[in-house]
Amino acid sequence: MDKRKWLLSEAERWKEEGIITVEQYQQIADRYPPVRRAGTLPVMGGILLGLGVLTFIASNWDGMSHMTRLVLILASMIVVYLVGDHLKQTDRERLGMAFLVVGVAIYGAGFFLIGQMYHLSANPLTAFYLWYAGAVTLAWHYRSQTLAFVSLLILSAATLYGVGTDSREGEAKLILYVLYAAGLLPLLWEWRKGWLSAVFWVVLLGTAVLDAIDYTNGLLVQLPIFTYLLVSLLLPKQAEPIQSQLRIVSYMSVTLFAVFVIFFGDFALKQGAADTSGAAAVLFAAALFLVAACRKGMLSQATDLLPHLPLPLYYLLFAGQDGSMQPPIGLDVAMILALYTFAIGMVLSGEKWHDVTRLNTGAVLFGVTSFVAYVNFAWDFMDKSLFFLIGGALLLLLSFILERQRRRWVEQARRERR
Amino acid sequence: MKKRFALLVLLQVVLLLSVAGKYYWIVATGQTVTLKTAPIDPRDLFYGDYVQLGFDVNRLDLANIRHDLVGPLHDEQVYVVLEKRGNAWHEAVGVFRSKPELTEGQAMLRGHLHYYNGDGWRQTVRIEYGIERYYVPEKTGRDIEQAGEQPWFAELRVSSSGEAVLSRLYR
Repeated sequence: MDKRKWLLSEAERWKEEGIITVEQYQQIADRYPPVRRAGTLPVMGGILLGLGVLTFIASNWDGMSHMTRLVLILASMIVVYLVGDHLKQTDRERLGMAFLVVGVAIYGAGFFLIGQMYHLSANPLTAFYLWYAGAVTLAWHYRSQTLAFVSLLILSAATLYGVGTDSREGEAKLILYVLYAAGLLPLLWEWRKGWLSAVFWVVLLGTAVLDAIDYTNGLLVQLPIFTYLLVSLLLPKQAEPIQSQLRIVSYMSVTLFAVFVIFFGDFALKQGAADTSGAAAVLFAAALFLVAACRKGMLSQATDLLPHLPLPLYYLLFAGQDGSMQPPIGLDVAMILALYTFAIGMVLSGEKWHDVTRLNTGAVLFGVTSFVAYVNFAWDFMDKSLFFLIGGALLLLLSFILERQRRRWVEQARRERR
Repeated sequence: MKKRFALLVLLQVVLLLSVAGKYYWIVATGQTVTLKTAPIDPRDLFYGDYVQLGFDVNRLDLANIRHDLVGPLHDEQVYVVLEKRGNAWHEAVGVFRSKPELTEGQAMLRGHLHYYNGDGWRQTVRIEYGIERYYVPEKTGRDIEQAGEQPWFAELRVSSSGEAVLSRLYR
């Protein structure tokens, strides 16, 4: 049931019970006018119509002169925009937005069609950037999360499209981040409590990680993940909930990274990939983190550093001249130990601060680490059916114990918070 | 509100028109250059089917032409000077990092030097001009690719700054 219906049925009861007068009931009803909502069907219809126009243009393309093509694109774009804007002005919010999104799609298609007309291939990303500029200014105009999301999608497409081409080499990489920062960051600050903000951090980290992979042999991937952690610690209180969004995204990514190192770390070490300057950068960032945590009186959060440390330490301590390494314990073992301590530290600090999120995250991390450790150690020497049998049983047992313990912790944390 | 919306839509129209207009201008006023080429055929998610062109001028042997390049180089903007040497098509006669002075009958392409390969006595460079794709109607790329050994020619229009637009592919 929608909120207005609920409110009016409640107010009806208040009126009958004499809590409010008939006039007051009317005032309440007038205060919340019914929103004219478009159903899903007209939205789908609008999108289909737009696609129909586009495919019609595309399939009759060869017979048209350049000028006709251009006029068709511009005319359909302007019409769709005007209809969208009109619908929005007359309170048909969703349908209007659907038209505007189609308009943005036609606008973008325009650049690719021009590229086709003149056989352009020099700067393929320019089309995406101009497309984004149009989409994001409309997002600003309407303060629309949908259009901001579309803009984010366009930049993600540009990121993926640019992988492996030289339009994303060197300084060209910077353009993308400038566009993110100038176009979307201020809007996200406004909507930081919404879902879009969280999605944005994931996409941005994905982009940064892709760029970091290009640079060296894998270690710098940690830097953007670590930066999220550091920034979440340094941001002022008004930025909530950006801090928690950054922290959660950082925890998830570093766990993924750790799992990757556990299974494929030997490969990284054997390649002679020891990137000592990258390692030094991560350790320097870790020191910064410690200082900041100390000043904020949150030193219990120091265990967050642990999964970031093994790889740079191995690079710095055990890297031979020829790229071969003879560490006293394997990198996978060190990483699993780091992950365990990370999980336990998360639970302990969660208990200390009565922070339910940390308790839950810690419990999940503990389970994931146990699973990864089991796969890593048992896969090679155990019969496969036995592997799955014992693994399944262990996982069930662990999840049972962990879940019981987790509930106890969370309950306790909630009680002490009150 | 209404005004700002109109302005934003107008801005998009202007952006589209200015991109289209720039290349329209080059095609309308540019110098005509013909190059020898050979096609291969991939597809692009956003731009559709195209024929990938490999030009003779994509790979230059520095021993045969004038140049001011000192290796090792990569990711540099360069200018390639073209001239007809008794054939129907243009050939490269020089490659420079700074914009060269042209003499009668010469044309200039602005290109992106990808890498410089200098092993001892033979030095070559790989240069791209942003004209290496020829977009074709869906599924017709193979025909061009498999049309036999006879060489293809690409007709370009080149602006005074060396920017080229591919206008025709023929043989």
